Amino acid sequence: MTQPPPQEATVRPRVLVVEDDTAVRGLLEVVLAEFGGFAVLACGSGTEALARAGGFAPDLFLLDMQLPDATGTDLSRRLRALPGLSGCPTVLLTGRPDSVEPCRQSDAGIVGILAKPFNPLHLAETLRAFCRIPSDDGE
Amino acid sequence: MSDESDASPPRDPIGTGPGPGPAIDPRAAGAAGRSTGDDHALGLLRASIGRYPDEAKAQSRALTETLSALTPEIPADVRGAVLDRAVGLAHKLAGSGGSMGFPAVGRAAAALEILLERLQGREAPLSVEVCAQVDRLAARLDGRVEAIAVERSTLLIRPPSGRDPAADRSGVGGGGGAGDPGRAPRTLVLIGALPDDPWSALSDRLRWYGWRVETVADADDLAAADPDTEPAGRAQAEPPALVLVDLDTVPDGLAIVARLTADGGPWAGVPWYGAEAQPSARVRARAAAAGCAGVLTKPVGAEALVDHHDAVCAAAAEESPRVVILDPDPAIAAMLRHVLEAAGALASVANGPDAVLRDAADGATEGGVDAVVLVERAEAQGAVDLAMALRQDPACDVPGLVLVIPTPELDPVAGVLAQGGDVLLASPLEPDLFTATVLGQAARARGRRRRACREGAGPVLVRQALMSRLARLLGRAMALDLSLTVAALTLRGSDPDAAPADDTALARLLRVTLRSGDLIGRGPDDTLAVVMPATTRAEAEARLSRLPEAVAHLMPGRTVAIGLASTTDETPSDPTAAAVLGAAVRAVLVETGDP
Repeated sequence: MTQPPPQEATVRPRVLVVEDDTAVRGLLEVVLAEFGGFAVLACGSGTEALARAGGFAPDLFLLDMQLPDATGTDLSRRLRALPGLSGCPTVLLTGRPDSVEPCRQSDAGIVGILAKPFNPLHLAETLRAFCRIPSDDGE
Repeated sequence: MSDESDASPPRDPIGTGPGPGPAIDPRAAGAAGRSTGDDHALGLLRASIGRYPDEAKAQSRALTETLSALTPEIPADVRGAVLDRAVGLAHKLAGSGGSMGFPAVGRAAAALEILLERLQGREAPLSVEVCAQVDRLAARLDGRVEAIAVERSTLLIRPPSGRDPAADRSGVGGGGGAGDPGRAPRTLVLIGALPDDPWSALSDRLRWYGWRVETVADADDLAAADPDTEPAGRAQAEPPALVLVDLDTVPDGLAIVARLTADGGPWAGVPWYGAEAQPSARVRARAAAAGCAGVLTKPVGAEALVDHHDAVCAAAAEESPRVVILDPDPAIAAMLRHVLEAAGALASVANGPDAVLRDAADGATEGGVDAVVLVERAEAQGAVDLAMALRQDPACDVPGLVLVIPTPELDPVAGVLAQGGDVLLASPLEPDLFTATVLGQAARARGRRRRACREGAGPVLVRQALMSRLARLLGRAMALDLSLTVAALTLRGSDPDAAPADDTALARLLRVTLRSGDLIGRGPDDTLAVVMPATTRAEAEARLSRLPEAVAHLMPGRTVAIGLASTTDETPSDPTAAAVLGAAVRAVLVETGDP
């Protein structure tokens, strides 16, 4: 996990990543933290995410759709039920974007769906656009 | 064909390989990269990717082990659990492979996932053929996973100079022709031209076709030998429209230009040719393997280059090939559709022989089906009969026909070839070979269609085809109040023996002069006619303004008379295609003083 230094914690947008694939999770951490300017908390399961999300106070959830202990949609709903996280938007990461039921998206706070394989170069930019987070350049 | 792999030797030391994940450039990716240092960030990225091979191999081994239980004899209740686990593993590899910069792994896993997923809900026992196809795809995936080399991840290979290869490719067909002085000329980079070579004549002649030739004597001017340094000299400038390398003077030219024009290279997508005094079959084969569009025999003529470039651009501009698949096994059909679509085809699965016949008949005209895949299964005879029916029906003989049979035994092969099948493949299918075969047949069908309405292999539409298209364009122009101009052109000064060659030369000049949407065809009285949609008379005059000068230079002793008729002229009493074309021809006759 890449924890932000204290002085950056107030300026870096915070993203909670939940991805069970170890390699992809590591890649997301590096890409978002080192290249995208995010503070990242990476978890390998829905259970771990639910246990740690409250202390991290994320600005955004980035959830794999197919987790061993939950679907991304259900996990989003449960995360948003935690105190202080009801307004946190979710972006799903899935190999099958068309399999996500549209009717289940809005009440789960899903603002975007990214298809795997994703483009690491554009991932941070895409997340910022989904969540209306200004870029580092203020644009 | 060669199997793709994420561990193949580096083709392009100065750019990215193909794949969904371009190499990460910390300078472009975000402020954090700048603040923590590029090397630190890239080191973390490399370490992250470095953990992937072991994980992927473990997943692939687990997948293979899981699939080993998938036999025709497996009980239905066990089969469901096996498929669920296998789909999950294939899904993970499909998602992670491409994201980690190994697109070949991702594609192989995705094809297997599609097939397995379609088997999940099946109640009937799995056939031997389905199990064999699963095994083939699993072995293909395992081979690619085993071949993963971290340093070949597309995320780590250094990016090009920020140029979009797609934008480069889109510029291939552009450029100013002889009659379009407002556009920049197309550039040919000629590598290996020595001062005393006869290349100067080529340069002068190409100028009249709207080309500018840049000569590069030494290939070292193009790319530095060290892949970690920037390409030097000409390669840093704007990409050319075409590259020609003299292989007699630059023996390593194939390797150099292959690197420059590979995906992610500074000249990505730019077509290129080699030239030799006596090109051997071996050199041609090496050139083809390097991505070269062909090896021309010296001396190379300007007209040959112009024609080759036009052919390459026409092929690149073609829309996605359309393919229809008929396979009694819907799971394999879905997998075949997936691999074809991943290769850029528009594929559909027919729900029966009648649908294939209907689509194939519709495909007799341009814009229809380009290739039909008929799969014969042991338990469902009929594909061979359908292939025979397609071949014997004159309305269905255009699409390429790929027949997949259960075994490669000689008798059925010989029997089907005798009936006119284009290509035979045996189950289980190897996806890469299958895709290349189907796309090749589709390209052949398109070529046949294209030639069917043109004079020879050139751009000139036969009269009936020109009139048909002119009528359609004119109707649209009148309905939407758009401008459209037709030109008729007549060459003067040709003797009868030279007339066919002069006609070809004028057509070539027109092709490089006109826009891609303009049509060249045979008009009345054997004139060449040009239809220019969305073009006013003044724009047409400007577009054709340099044509007489080019004809005078390239075809000594000949002159060209041009007559124009436009929808922006005074409204003719008969606003039909024939009337507009006739008006253009009459304008020529008036200009040349003929009755």
